Amino acid sequence: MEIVVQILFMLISALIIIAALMVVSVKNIIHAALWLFTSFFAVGALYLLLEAEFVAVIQVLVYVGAVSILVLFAIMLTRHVTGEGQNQLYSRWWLGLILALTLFGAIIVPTVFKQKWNIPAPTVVTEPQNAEPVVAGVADIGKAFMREYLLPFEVASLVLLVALIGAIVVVFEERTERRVILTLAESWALRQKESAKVDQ
Amino acid sequence: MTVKIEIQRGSAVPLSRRHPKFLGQGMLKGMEVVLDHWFKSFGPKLENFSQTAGIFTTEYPEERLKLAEAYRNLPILLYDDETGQELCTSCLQCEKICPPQVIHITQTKDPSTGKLVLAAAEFIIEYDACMGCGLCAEVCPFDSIKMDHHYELSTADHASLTMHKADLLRPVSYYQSLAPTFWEQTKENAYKKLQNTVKRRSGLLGIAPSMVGKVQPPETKPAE
Amino acid sequence: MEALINYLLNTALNLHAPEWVILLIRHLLVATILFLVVPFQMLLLTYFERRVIARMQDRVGPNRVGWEGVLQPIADAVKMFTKEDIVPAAADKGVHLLATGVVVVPTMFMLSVLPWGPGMTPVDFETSLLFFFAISSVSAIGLVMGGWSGNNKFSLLGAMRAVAQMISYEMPAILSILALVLMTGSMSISKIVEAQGGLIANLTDLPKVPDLGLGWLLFTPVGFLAFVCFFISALAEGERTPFDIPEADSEIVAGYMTEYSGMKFGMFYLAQYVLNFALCAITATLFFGGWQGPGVSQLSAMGANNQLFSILAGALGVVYLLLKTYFFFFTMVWIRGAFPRLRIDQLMGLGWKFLLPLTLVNIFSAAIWAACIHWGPEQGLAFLSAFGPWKRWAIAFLSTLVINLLAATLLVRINSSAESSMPKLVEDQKFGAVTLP
Repeated sequence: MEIVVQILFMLISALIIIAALMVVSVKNIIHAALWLFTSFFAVGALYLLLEAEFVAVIQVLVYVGAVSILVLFAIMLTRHVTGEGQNQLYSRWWLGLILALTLFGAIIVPTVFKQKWNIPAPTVVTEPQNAEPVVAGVADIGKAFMREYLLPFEVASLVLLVALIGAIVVVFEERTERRVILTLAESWALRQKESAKVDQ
Repeated sequence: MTVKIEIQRGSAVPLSRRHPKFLGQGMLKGMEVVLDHWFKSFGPKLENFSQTAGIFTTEYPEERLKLAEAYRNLPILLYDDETGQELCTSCLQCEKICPPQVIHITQTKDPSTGKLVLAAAEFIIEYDACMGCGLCAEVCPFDSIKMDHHYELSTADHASLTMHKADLLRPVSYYQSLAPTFWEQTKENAYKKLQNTVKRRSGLLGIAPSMVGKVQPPETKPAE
Repeated sequence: MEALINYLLNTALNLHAPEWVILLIRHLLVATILFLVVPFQMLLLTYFERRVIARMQDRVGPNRVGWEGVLQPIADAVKMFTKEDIVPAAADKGVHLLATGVVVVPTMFMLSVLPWGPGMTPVDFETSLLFFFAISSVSAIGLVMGGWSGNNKFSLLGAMRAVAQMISYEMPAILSILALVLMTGSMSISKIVEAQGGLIANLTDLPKVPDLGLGWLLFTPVGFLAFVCFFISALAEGERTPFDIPEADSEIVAGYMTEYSGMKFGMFYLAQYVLNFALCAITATLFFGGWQGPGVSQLSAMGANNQLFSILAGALGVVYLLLKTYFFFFTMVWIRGAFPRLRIDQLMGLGWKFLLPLTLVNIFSAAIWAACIHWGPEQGLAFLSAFGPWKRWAIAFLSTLVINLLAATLLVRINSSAESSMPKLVEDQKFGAVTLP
């Protein structure tokens, strides 16, 4: 069983890495987006491998189901979808590379040298036969959200609310400015109403 | 006669609907109507079109609608049942009037004298190009061409749609079964003209090929 | 099942197969059965729909191929297979091909978490309900891929419509399901079904009720409102007729399927029918007790002594589930026969202005229901434990009924008044007089 899990892990992580590389290297933006969803989905599979079903399902629901669709919508509104004849790299790409490498090195090098790498071998805990496997379920996550992490939870929801109100304000259109073409019956009803007002 | 109807565009007719008692009453009513039709479709078939529910499909190969007497499909030629004499005299009227020019007639010559006989030696109608307008039947002074009711003509063999005289000939009784009242109207005229025609034919000329051997050819030679 | 495979491999054939081989074989077997069932159901559903809708329109429907036309779907399938596969020259060929798979596969996944009978859930885990809806949203990507890759404005329009509709109707669907999760305290579909034994009131709420398998969640005010909202959303998600805007044939040819032909089109068709079947099945499962019905629990109780009875119970459960599912599919066809298509703004208005607030209120009343039934002094509601279970159930029923009725009437009022306040008449609406010959 262990070998199977390891092989699966290798396959899934290889898929994630390849997909992520394809996202940045493919010229067609739609293809890049599709590779991005592949990577999202594979991350979901990785969660499943860790027996975190709830997180995996949420990953699929939020990232694959919702975020990806929004990404696709946004991409379809751009002009150069196929990206033919466009250069992937700017002329000073080496500057960016050096910067990124320096930053990465600045983080990773001290960690590698300062960390004491004498991790003890994991002790095999023999659980009693009937014990429930300790995996954080939905109920635990819910309790954590509502008790320990209530403040971050509320702050996050407030941010979302602000975003929602902002979106409404941006796209709101005055009702009087809206131009509606009425059906015959509707315009008849409207005229009846107007004539009734005139009579009064 | 044309009827002039004045329609004031922009005016709608208000229908007084009862105020719905609860939400979705109209929708439920609509669903009820549909379900009612569904149940009634298992009942007896529709007999006439004033009924509103029940299946009215005519399942074609097994069931057929009765055709009207004036229904016309493509033209046929008639011959007399008893004597086997064709009504056609090859007067070429139909050939001339045919709009798509699909009728081709060869007139008969008496082999002994070389004179024209009042009968068609060959009569071809290209069914594939015929448009069924019925002008040939209208124009025929001898009531020889009539319009058939048979409509199942589809075939994979294109050439077979060029109908020769032998394919076109039908007995008068066949046409009588299709359109009895129409035949009643023209019967007298048709037979009178046929008698005159027969007087001027000789031997087997003008006798339908399928009837040759079954009937006696007229003995008298046409008067000169 | 695992025991059976274990016996066959290790005892009878003496192969010393490890545990994971047995598990793998078991899952492969179940998957094979599901993959066989699905196309079969699809064939049956197309035939069923065509016959039923024909009868509703006073026609006969396909009745030529085989007895009463039962072989018609097979003839259709043969036609699909032998048709030429046309890919537009300007299409993105890879995406064009992939889209069919991305649409079909999630719908197949949906069937894997359905409890087909007592103890007959192919994959049973704690969050299977959420999984069902998460995976169904994946096929939206396939629709966009199919619509975009064809390089056709109609298919792109159809895909846009489909996705807008799917996203906006997923909200009320999931929110109405959330009310059930609150009531039953579980996100596992099989546990929700198991909780629906009883008669009118279910066994978790009133343990002493006779178990006739009729304690459906539909019989509670919360469940009823959730059912109405969910079924409307299911119609929209399955692109059934009042909401078949994405493939409105009178407007945009066939929507995202426009550029597909042959078996690729057949795959889209298959996905749609499988999705409809899954949605009907989940409606039957969540609100109408799934495999629950009179006699199932008694039979499975007898199955403890005799294996035959538990098989019988399973068979009866499957029959109940399929009957309910087909009833809902009939309802879908019935609605298709009765109503015209909605306009896109009406669709969005119904989803966001009516269903979404209603389901939110419904979650509130579901919380009240859960509090009235299950809570006690631990949660600071000591006064509730003074009542007996019947009284608690009655209190829950009445209070949620009142809340839901009030919310529904209020929302209907608000929405209908918003509609009646029409804008000013535009000048070009006035037509002159015309004379017809």
